[in-house]
Amino acid sequence: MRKILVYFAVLLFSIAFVLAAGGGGGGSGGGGGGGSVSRYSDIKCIDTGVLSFTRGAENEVRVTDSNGQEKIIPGSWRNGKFTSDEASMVKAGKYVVKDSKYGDKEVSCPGLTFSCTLMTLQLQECRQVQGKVKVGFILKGIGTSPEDLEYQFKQQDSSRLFKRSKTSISSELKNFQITKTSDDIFTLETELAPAIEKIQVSHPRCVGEYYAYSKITCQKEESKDEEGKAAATSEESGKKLKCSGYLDIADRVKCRLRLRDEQADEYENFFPEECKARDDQEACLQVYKAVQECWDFPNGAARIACVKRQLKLKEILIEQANCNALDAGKRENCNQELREKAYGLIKFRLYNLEEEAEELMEEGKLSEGEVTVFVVTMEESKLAFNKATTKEERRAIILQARKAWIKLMKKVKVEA
Amino acid sequence: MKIAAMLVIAILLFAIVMVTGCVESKDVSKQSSASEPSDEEVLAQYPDDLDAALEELEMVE
Repeated sequence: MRKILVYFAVLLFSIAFVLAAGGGGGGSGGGGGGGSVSRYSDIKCIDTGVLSFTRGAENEVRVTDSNGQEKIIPGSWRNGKFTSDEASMVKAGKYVVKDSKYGDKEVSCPGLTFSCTLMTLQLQECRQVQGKVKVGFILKGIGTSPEDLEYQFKQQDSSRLFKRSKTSISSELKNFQITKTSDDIFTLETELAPAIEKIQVSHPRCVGEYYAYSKITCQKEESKDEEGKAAATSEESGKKLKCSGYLDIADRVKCRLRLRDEQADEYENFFPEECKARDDQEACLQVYKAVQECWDFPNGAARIACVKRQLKLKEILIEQANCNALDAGKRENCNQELREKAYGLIKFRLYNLEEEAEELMEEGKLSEGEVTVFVVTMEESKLAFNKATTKEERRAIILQARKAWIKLMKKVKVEA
Repeated sequence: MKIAAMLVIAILLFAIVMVTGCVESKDVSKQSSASEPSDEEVLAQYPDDLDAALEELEMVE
C-alpha cells in the first residue's frame, strides 16, 4: 500500500512538473541568420546554372568537371561572394572549384533546367476590341512555360494595373486563356472591360536578371490607318528599358536592388521614381544627380551638410529672415523657393532611409522582400509629399514613413 | 495515518509545483512581450532622423 502511495505521489509530482514546464510556450522564436560566412560554407550550384560561394580571395574562378576538363567561370564578386553568370554550369554532375590557397572544393550541380539569359520573351501584338483583349507573344527557352509568366495590363490614363500570375489573378480579368498557336508562339485572350494602354509580360524569376520582359501598346478597334488597317505598334524590350521600364513600381525597385555594381550607374536604371511622376523631370533629375556625391559621406551630419550644399540651402531661419526682409513682391517667391529646398532635404531623408535599409539587406540582416516593400513605401511617400497641399498632410506623411521604418527595423536580424 | 500524511504531502507538493509553474509561465510571457522592443528603443538603435524633417517642415510652413 505504501509503495502504491509513493508511486501516486511521484506521478502527481511528475504531471505537475510537466504541466508547469510546458505552460510557458509562445516565446519569441525566430532569430538566427546573419553573421559572417565562413569560406565556401555557402557554396551552391542551382538549376539556372549559377555557381555561388563566399571566398576571401576575389580572383579568377576555375572549375574542373568529372572528366578533369578545366574552365574559367564568368561571374562577379560582391563583398567576397562570387556569383557566376547564368547558364555557366550546364551539365549535371560533380565539379571541383580550384583553389591553390585554401584547398579545392567539390560541388554538385543539378544541371540547367531554366535560365533567364537563354529565354526569349517578345510581345508581338495587343488588341482590345469590345472588352476583349487579344495578345500574341513569342516564348522560348529551356524550362519556359506561359503559365509561369506574369501578365500585367495597365489601364489607360491611370496607374492601375490588372495582373495575372501563377498564384493570383485580378477579378477584372475574366476567361483568361493562353493557347499555343505554333512552335514558341502563344495567344492570350481575356475579357477586360477598362480601356488598356499597355501590356507587359515578364518572368517572376527574372526580375532584374537580364531584364527578361516585354511591353507593347494595346491597339483599340478605332485606331486604324488610312487603308483601314490597324496601326502597328512596336514592342519595347526589357533589355532596352532596363529597370525603369517595368510597369509595376515593386518590380522596378526589386530590379534595382538586384543590380550588380557595374549596372547601377546605367541611366535607365538610375531614373528616380519621383522624377518619373513629375512635370519638371529634368530639374528633378538634376537634383538627384547633384546629391549622388553625398553618399560618399558617412551617414549623419556630414551627409546632410553635403545635401544642403547641393540644394543651396543654408540655415532655414536665416534664409527665411532674409526672404522676409525683401519687398512684398519678391518675398513670396523667395519663401516659395526656400520651401522647395527644404522639401528637397526632407525627401532626401526618406531616400537616405532606403539606402540604409539596402545596406542592412546586403549585410544579410533584412530580406530582399522586406526591403522592397519598404523602398516602395518610401517612394510612394515622396510622391504623396509632392501632392500634399497642407502642412498637416506633409507631417502625416513623415510620421507614416517613421512607422514604416520602425516596422522594418523590428525585423532586423540581430547577430548572435 | 502515515498513508494520509503522505497523501497530504503529495497534494501539497503538487500544488506548490503548479503555483511555481504558473508564476514561471507568467514570467516567460512577460519576457516574450519584453523581447519586442518599443518604438523608442528601435529609434534609439536605428535613428530615422525624421525629427529633423518635422522641424524643417515646421520652420518653412
